[in-house]
Amino acid sequence: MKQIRKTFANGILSENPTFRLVLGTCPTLAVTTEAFNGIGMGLAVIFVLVFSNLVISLIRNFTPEKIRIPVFIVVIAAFVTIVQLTIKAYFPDLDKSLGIFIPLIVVNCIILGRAEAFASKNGPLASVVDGLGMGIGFTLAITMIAMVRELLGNGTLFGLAVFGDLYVPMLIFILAPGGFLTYGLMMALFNWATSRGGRREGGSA
Amino acid sequence: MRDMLKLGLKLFLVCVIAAAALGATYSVTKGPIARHMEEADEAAKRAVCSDATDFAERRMDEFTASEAWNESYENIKQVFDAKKDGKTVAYVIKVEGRGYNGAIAMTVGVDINGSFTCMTIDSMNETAGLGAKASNEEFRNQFAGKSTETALTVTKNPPPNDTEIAALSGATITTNAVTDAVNAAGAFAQAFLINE
Repeated sequence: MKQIRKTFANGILSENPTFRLVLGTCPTLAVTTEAFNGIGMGLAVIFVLVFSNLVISLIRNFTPEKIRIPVFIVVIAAFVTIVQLTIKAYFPDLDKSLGIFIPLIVVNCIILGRAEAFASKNGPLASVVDGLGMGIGFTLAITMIAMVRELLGNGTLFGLAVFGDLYVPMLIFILAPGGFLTYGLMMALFNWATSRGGRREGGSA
Repeated sequence: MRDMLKLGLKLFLVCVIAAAALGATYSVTKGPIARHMEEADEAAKRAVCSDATDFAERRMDEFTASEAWNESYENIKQVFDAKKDGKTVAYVIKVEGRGYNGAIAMTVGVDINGSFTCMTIDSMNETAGLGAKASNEEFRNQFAGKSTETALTVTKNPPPNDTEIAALSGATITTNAVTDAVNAAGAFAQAFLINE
């Protein structure tokens, strides 16, 4: 039980995929222009990550070392497509809000990264927990980046005007350069905050 | 050699299973997906022309064979007569524009007097927070009531006058693409549909 809790927390803090492992930076930079997009992309990733980890873990003893990467890619791509078709067919409302994020998941290297680094070496339960932790860590990170960018770049938060007419939005923050600026600064902030915590506990930063 | 064959076979097996799963999912979801797309299409037509009860599709070759046809109309994809009680009250035109990031599909409504009724965006890949704002009502409603006789232009200095559309800030390319496509639909309606 303790091990499971550790695996779960691992993805959110000490190995946060966005701020620590620096995985999945393409979707991070691309979709974080609005806070809602962060949550939407995050939910889609959690879903795919949990199930792809489960499948990869179940077939890990069958998969030969030499061809593991093509096997992972086939499993992930097939899974993403199945999810996309199912959502389109049975949850059209969800498709309207999340649909555009699902094809983007295929290029999200967090999924392949966790298949390689965790699910191919651990049991199904631990792999599902790892997928959940990593997915939530990713969702929190990109939603925070998106909130900063939307607030500074558009003057709104989740589509609601916060500042009124007094604030002139800095457009650069929802354009590409603002994505790099915000991502870099927040990564620095995250590392500063977590390393301070480490030192206080007497460990090395 | 034997080893390679074994690896190949295993990979083949994984691919076969994945393909079978995909095929099964596709055949099960094909029906519902087609139905939802039809519903969305119907909703778009209704959105640009709310009082019509029936939409009759026009054959495109009827227009392309005409002398008045020229390449500026090539982005017109479909044309419908919007009917109420059997009488045509407006025209619904499906048109495509070249946006910042690929095609923007739109549905444009023109009434029989030659004014735009409304415009909706059916699909696009414009930047979220910038070009994607083209689907906001505030932007789309600018087209309603404007005449199709003169081409609309984009202005960056609001308020816009009767023949101007206020640009989305930071998304001039999207605004131009949408306005050009709507203009094409308007010119097409003037040339082929109004007073026919």
